[in-house]
Amino acid sequence: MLNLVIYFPLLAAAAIWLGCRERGTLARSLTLAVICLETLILFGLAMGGNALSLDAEWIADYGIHYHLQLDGLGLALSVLSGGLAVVAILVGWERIDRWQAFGPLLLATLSGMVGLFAAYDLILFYVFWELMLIPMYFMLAMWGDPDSRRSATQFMLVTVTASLLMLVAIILLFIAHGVQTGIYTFDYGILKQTPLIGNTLLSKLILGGLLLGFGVKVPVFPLHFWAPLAYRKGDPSVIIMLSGAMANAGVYGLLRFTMPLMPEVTASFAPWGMAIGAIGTLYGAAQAIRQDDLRGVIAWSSISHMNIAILALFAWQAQALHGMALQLLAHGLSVAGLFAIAALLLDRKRDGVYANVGGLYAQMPKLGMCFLFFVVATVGMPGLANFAGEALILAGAISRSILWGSVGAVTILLSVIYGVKVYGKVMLGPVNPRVPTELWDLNSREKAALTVLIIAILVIGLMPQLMIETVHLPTAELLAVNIDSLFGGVHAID
Amino acid sequence: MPSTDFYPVIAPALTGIGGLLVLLIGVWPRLKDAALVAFYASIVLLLGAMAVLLAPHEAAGFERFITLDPVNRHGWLLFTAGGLATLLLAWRDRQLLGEVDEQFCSLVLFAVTGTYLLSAATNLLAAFIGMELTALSVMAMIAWQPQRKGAVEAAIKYAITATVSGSIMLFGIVLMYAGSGSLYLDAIPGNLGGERTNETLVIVGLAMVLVGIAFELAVAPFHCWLADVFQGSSSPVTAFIASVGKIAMLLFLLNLADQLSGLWPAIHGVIIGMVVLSVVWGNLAALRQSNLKRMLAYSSVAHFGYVLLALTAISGDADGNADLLQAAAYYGLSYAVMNMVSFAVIGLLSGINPSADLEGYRGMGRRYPLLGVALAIAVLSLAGIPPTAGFFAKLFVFTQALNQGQLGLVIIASLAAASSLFYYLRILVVFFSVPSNEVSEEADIALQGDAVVMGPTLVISLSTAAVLLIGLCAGTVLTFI
Repeated sequence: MLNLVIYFPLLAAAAIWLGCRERGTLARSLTLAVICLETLILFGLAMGGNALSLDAEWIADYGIHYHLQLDGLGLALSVLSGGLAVVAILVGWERIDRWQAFGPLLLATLSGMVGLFAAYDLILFYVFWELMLIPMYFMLAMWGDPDSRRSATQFMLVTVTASLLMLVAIILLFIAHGVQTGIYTFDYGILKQTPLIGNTLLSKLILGGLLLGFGVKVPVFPLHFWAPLAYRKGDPSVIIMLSGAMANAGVYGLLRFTMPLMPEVTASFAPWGMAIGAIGTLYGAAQAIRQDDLRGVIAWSSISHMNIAILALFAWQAQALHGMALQLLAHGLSVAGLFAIAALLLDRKRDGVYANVGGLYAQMPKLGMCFLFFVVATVGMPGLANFAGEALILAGAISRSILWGSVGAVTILLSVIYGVKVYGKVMLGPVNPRVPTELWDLNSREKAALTVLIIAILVIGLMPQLMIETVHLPTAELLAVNIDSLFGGVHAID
Repeated sequence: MPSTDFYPVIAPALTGIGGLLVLLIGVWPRLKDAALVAFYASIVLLLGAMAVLLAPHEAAGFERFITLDPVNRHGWLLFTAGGLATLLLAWRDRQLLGEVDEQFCSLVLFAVTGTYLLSAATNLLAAFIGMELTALSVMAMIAWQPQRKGAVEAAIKYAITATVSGSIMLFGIVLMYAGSGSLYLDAIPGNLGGERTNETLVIVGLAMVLVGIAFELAVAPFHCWLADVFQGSSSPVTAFIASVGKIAMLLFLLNLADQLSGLWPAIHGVIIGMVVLSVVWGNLAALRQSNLKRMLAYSSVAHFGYVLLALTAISGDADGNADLLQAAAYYGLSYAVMNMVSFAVIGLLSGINPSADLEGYRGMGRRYPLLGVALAIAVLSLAGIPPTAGFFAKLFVFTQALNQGQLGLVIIASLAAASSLFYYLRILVVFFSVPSNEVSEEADIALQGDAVVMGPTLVISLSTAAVLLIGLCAGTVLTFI
């Protein structure tokens, strides 16, 4: 079953690529069908609630296992990735050309994502991590603004450099663990039982490598430098996957692999981590206010919101972690919604630069309403998904550090400012006379795409308990690493 | 009295004598069909492979000259397969069309014989003979069709390098003999420390042998000939040099490192220098190339830098050495198969783009999806992207090097590997982007004619499958090495 959910999109990708050479529309329908099916299966598994697992020897000489385990957190993020892929297809329906190439790449990315959320072996994780990156690069490079190849290359070089250093860190971890316990293995299940004790230079190097590898993807301040350009130049359908789903993979990696494997050194880093998260979220929000185009605002707002998740992560406290899980889902959904709006405007030949838009609400009220919904969700309106996440995060973070928790709270205010500003510039005000007027409101396909997102945001916002239950078990397991004793400087761990 | 076993000589004898017989077909009246000649040569190679397969599994030595042990067995099979692939590729290669005759086929056979001797040598002289036999045959193959642009230039460059490196190596061998009183690899460490031996002389000799090997492997700073040779020779020959010639030399190097591990720490500095220069210079130079063959040549320099990374930590500790050598051998194997794919694809497309300029490949991946996929897999493997063989090769080498405490070197190597992605991705983007101008009908028909591409297609599909399988089944492959 696990193998099925991971490799089904990949096999479908191969079939579509070989089978639909000249038939883009067929490829498009098939891709949509495959992803819907995949998401439904994942959703069914998530509702079933049982963690799936599979363990087999892979490369015995190096202690590499083919160990998969998909628990509540992984399932929730996988379902999100699948759902976002559906939205990406729906909003790119007309705009994306050459579906016979785009569809398979999207499917391969999804395969990599589900695989990495399920991987319980560090090398296996790395394999899926890269599997997700390569198709993403091609989607960024070949679709999007005419000069998107440069930003795509920058994205790829930055992430691959970071990934390779992460690989070095993983190998160092393997060796350090082997030296410490005599067991040479990459298997997470075994590594986790005997975490790396000690705040030595070696563990600092390992932590540094992992932070770099995962942080670039999040993107954590100050490793975010590739993101604004890529988010702005790429096709919105691709960016939905990049900012909504792939960023989660970075946080997931940090959550899964740093604290449980190296509690001491991570704990000593945690105050810095919280600081970085808080500063990053503030900086992102401030930058978002300064932007003068829609996609720029969304990009910086996304960076800002992902850094809140980092703040939560390093608070390493039950409330904050639950909030973080919610925040990952909520951010994925709302940023996808915003990029979907950007995509729909792009379909109508609007690039979202303030000077070229204005007063669109009068012409497209339905689109305007949806846009408003996503903006409100992003700024954290109570009742919608982001609020529940942010409230939990801030409560948790403040209990750990008043300073950085408050800094995080200030961003909510800033997010209202840029939210109102961007909405006002694009949607309200007098109709810009420079804009040609042939505009159409949402058609049924676009309505379907946005409705999926709106319903999901509402469900999570109104019933956060549902989501918290799904992710409770894994987070509780992670929290078994008792950070309190570490914060107190006590060095006793079982 | 050295034990004498005849199994190790059967395969080299078969291919050597087979090469002579194939050459004789040329003087036989009324037998001038190139296809038939290539067929006979293939039979000879298959018989050689059979002889290797049927030989007993335990290590067997012949007159302390060559030893057929389990590692070499697989090496020999790889070389035989490489020779066969070269024949298949050359047979109907667009550039070599009508030029492949009994002489070319016999050269392939002689070159394969040379690689047998070189990789299995337990005696420094055997290694030298093997190296020269391979180098001479390869040189003639590079110069095939002298009227082709760059062919003679490449052959001269290769000839000079091979001669210079051969003489340096020979001088090193002489010094080692003078210092230790023995040419047998396994006897040299034991002889040291006795009367009339001189360890310094042996170490200097070893360093010179290493320089000779580095010339052949084209490790920086001894890599200057490689790009011109790759560009100047036809693709099947390039494939042979990259996938067979270099790997045979690598196996000898591993054998040397294994036997002389006690002396190895004395030359660590030399190897570390070569590693750093190769990975940095190879990747940087490859960034600047606009010709696919030259790009792959410089990437080859970098790849052998990664291989040598595993050898920086060889020391007297036998257990640790086994893992290091295994990692290096795995790297060599994956390098051989992924290059075979690349050059087979280049050869197949040489009818459309004879110069192998990168821009000439624009849109080829869309036009010929299967070729595109094969090349994409090979290039991703070269770039070290999982789950291909190239990724695991890097993983094992890095793991071993880190295990020996070479953190700085590994970080340099991984940064260099990250920068290499830049040009590998460029290849892929060019292959899969929209073609600027339509390919001429004629070239297209030539490529689509079914019989014409049978051989190369077979080579490409088998070696592409190998790139994936060697990666996915790395655990099984490691037990064989």
